[in-house]
Amino acid sequence: MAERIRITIDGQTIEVEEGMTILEAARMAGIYILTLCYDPRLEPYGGCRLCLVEVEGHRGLETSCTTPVVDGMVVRTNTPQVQDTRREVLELIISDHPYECLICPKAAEGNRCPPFSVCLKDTKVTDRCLVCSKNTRCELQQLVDYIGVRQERFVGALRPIKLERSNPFFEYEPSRCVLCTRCVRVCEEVRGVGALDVAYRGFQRAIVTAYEVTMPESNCEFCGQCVLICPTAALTKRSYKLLGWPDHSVRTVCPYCGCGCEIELELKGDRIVGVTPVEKSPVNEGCLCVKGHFGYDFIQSPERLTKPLLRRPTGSMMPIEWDQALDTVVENLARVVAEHGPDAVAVISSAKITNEENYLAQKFARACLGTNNIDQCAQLCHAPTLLALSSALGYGTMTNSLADLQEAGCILVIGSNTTETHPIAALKIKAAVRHGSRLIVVNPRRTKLDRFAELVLHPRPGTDAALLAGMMRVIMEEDLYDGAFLSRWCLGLHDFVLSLQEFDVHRVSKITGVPVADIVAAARLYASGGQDERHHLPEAEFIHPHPTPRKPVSAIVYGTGITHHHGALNAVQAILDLALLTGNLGKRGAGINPLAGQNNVQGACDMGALPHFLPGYQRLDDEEVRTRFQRLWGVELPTKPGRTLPEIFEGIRQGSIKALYIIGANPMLSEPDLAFVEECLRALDFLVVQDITLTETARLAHVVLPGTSFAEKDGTFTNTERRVQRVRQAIAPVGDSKPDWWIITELGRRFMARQKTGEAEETSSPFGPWNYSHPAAVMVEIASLTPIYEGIGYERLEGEGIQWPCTSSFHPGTPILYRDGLPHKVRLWPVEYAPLEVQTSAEYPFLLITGRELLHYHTDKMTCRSLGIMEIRPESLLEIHPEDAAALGIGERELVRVISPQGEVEATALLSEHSPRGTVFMTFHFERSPVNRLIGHAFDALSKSPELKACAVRVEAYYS
Amino acid sequence: MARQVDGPTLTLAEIISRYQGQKGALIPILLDVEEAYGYISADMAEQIAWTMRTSPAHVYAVASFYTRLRTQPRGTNLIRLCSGIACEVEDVTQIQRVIEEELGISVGETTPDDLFTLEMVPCIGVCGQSPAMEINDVPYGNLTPDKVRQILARYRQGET
Ligand code: SF4
Ligand code: SF4
Ligand code: SF4
Ligand code: FES
Ligand code: FES
Repeated sequence: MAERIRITIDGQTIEVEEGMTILEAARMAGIYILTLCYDPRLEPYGGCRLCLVEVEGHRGLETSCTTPVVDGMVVRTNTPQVQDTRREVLELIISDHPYECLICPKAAEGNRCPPFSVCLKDTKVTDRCLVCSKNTRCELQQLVDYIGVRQERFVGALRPIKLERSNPFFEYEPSRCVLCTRCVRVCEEVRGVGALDVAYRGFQRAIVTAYEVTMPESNCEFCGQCVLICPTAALTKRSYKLLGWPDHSVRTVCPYCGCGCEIELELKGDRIVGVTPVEKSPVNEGCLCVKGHFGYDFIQSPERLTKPLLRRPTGSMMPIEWDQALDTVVENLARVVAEHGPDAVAVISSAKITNEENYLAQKFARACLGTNNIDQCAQLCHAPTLLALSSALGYGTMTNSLADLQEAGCILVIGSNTTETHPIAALKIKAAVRHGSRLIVVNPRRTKLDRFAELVLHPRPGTDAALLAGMMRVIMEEDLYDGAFLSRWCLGLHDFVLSLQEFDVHRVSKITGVPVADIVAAARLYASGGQDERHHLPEAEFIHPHPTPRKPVSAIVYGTGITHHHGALNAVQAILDLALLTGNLGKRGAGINPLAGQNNVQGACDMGALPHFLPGYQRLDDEEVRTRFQRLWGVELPTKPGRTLPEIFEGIRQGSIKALYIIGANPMLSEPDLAFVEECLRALDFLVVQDITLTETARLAHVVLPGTSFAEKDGTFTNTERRVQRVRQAIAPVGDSKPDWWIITELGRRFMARQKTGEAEETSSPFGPWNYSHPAAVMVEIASLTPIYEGIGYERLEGEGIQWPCTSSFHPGTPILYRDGLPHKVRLWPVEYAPLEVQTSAEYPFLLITGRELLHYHTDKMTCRSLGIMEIRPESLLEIHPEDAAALGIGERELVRVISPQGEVEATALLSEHSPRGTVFMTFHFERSPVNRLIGHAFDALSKSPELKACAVRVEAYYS
Repeated sequence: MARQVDGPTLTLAEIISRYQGQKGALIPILLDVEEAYGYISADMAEQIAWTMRTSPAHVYAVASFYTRLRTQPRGTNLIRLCSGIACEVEDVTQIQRVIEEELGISVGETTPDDLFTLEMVPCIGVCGQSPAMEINDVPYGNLTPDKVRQILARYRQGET
């Protein structure tokens, strides 16, 4: 706790904490001091000199935003000297700004001209505030009005109007810039990007990118943070210029990744004109990434489905009414159930729809159809985590919170290109490093996080388990483990230590290609919670500008680099072992943090859209649980565990699955081995697809049901840190589309009515009838059947959301799991490592790694509808090392063919040293080059996660 | 001051490693690179930024702040046109326009054939003969548009 000291500001004596600045102290006491370059999130800068104050005993004036308080200090904020100086400062600031309206006598009367008024001063249009997009919202106007500057004493030349319009999201107009450098600092300090800086000196000073290239050519990530922080119109969103300023906004949750940022959806009438981050959200703290900030064209895109579609016998699609569509679906599903049994039907739900909808989807499968064949695409990335962590610890999820990362002494990021896949989680990591956390990045490729890392390890793809084993071996040998934790909570130490025998560092180094010294250093750094001083990065003056002492705890963050391939389970178990060995569980800043890919992967799993679990990970074979569900739902529940996603397709191939109901998923793009998937879908008796556009999968359906986007419905999402957050309806459904919960409810009701014909008896079970009028009612049902959600209801979700487990309406939620110890003793898993099944050969000499990139999101349904995002990254790129490319005669941006034993796709070559030699990288977002077509059929034997991440390929120039 | 013809004396990696582990090494590194290569290229800035763990924009900003540091390659012939008071009075702007037209570049740039770089500098000390310029340290005074064209033509033909 910092010392408390007393200071006097303008005669008012206040008690403040040592270490505060005068400005902060004044703000606390409610005393207004003018500022321009100050922002509470940024480090003190002292550039604009508007915040000058008089400090007794100091010569001259001090900038209050940089001067720390001292006990007994006497400060005056409004003396004549202060007033004069700051007026002069402000006059200088506006001297090269368009000032005519700023100092206009009309403004002095307190009424700035409304739009379209005739200017009496006959000044140049470009000199007026009136034509500026920030008019009435500009901080400079406010300052000028406050001080009352009504003349222009220093007439400087305006900066030439040189609009930077090279990117589709925002514009930079230098003549409106006041050089407060807030954009520069926020880009570096908060975003860790550093795309901008102030070049030159004197009057030439300007905000530029490195070498003054255009924004898309620079390292800018288009998060738009600089636009949000700019006090003037120098940086402005283009959408505001084109569509106008919003008249109201609705608070909801970003539909893209698992971070679950809270956003304000800004509307003008019923048109979405923009998005801003929620400042007070504990998740994103006023930040967003490019997708969340600018990727909203898909909502009101002309490609949205507006009517249900029915396939004619000729194959073409015909729009029909809802009644007919719903009845057709129910009839066909009922027919298949009657003819082939309930297990001949499967439901594929989605990690993009709400919790309530996922709950209804699994209820429809289990209670109506009578099958456990329900899964969703989280299977592709989350299954190994679920399996390994839930069987050991109870919950297969992030043990800690995103905010927690900032308290870790050491953060180990493995198999996650966090900056691209979970931008906001990456911000927390970067912020932690700024304050002294030490970062280890493990990834076969170079990633943007590397800049902040003390240690960067590039193991060969698929060798993570071996690397982790090597680290654990070092930890055992050097006695760096947490003995007390081990003896209290762990079993099987003996077998575990035996299994490490194969993994001495030299052998591990040979397997992984990581130097021995780095493996040892990583082990020491992690095990010591970042306290180990034997290895440290001397040049890192820019990455920890303000180190503060950290607690000796370490967090692990991992992503799809770990879970997306064969052998994933081994790697996740090794991660678990590592955390157990060092006692990094149940503490602030520690933990195992798998990052869920899509926005609601966590929620979809929680809701039991899984073949092996009922909602809340309750076991299918637990008699007590089953009885409860049966009593409340009023039906018999199927006992046989259902099929996972790959097994569903396998079942279709074998002919045992005849009908499929797909909600918001596009397996035609996201499953491995696409040709196989297409063949399966075509072979079905009946396929119904519910989605917002006519995806490749929907094109194969017999009936297509138009669902709505997140902006058109109420509900909840659960983000990767288990935080249940409220999604709120902002606009009416587009066309004749309907919220997914409504559609499933209708199907359920009609299905039940049909099965019951003849029996007049009314069901007495409380949740038997399908008559939900609003998702809130579904949440009530979820809460009463799911212990971890028991205390959650809409009335409690108005604020910042609740992290489950939340077991009663008084329970505050659980930001950190296992704080009071683990649920039971846990067995350490003997480490196993199986080399990647794909082997390169002379014919297929390259290892292809697949993944996501920042600008796009899962399959391209949403972001490809965003014109802005397509402008920046319109094509699928194959990253290849320049030397490899040269050997093949491939130049930058040339079209190439990528060929695997399974198939072939086209892509544009991007030469980059981010891919090590012998390895190429592709993303899986585009229809034009569905990279999954290349990938083999092997999947992780236990968790059934497909080998999505890697395969052997050959690369050829397209025109050769 | 002319450009190193035999190639740089030190590689970038060597320069960087000289300062390994030192705080505040950015400016010394940039000065050394300037000395060895005559300018700091975008690629070099990126590498320097990476080792220093800062951003290329920051490296560029520092380089553009100091007039001694150059961010563009320098041509074989460095034209330094005087922008001092005397030359200003004698309409050096007109001379500047002529040179820019002749070479197809503006101040601070280098011709695509790497032959000329044009810079504006403060007074070069021959105010009696303003407007004036220096090419590779050789001063030329009393410039007129025609005279400038002739001088440039001579350099084009290989005079150094
Ligand atoms: S958009 Fe983001 S990354 Fe780009 S310059 Fe602005 S703050 Fe930096
Ligand atoms: S662009 Fe905006 S935020 Fe950046 S320095 Fe200029 S006025 Fe400040
Ligand atoms: S995509 Fe993820 S990081 Fe980006 S704004 Fe949305 S939730 Fe936040
Ligand atoms: S706010 Fe203090 S100097 Fe700008
Ligand atoms: S002013 Fe040009 S030489 Fe002095």
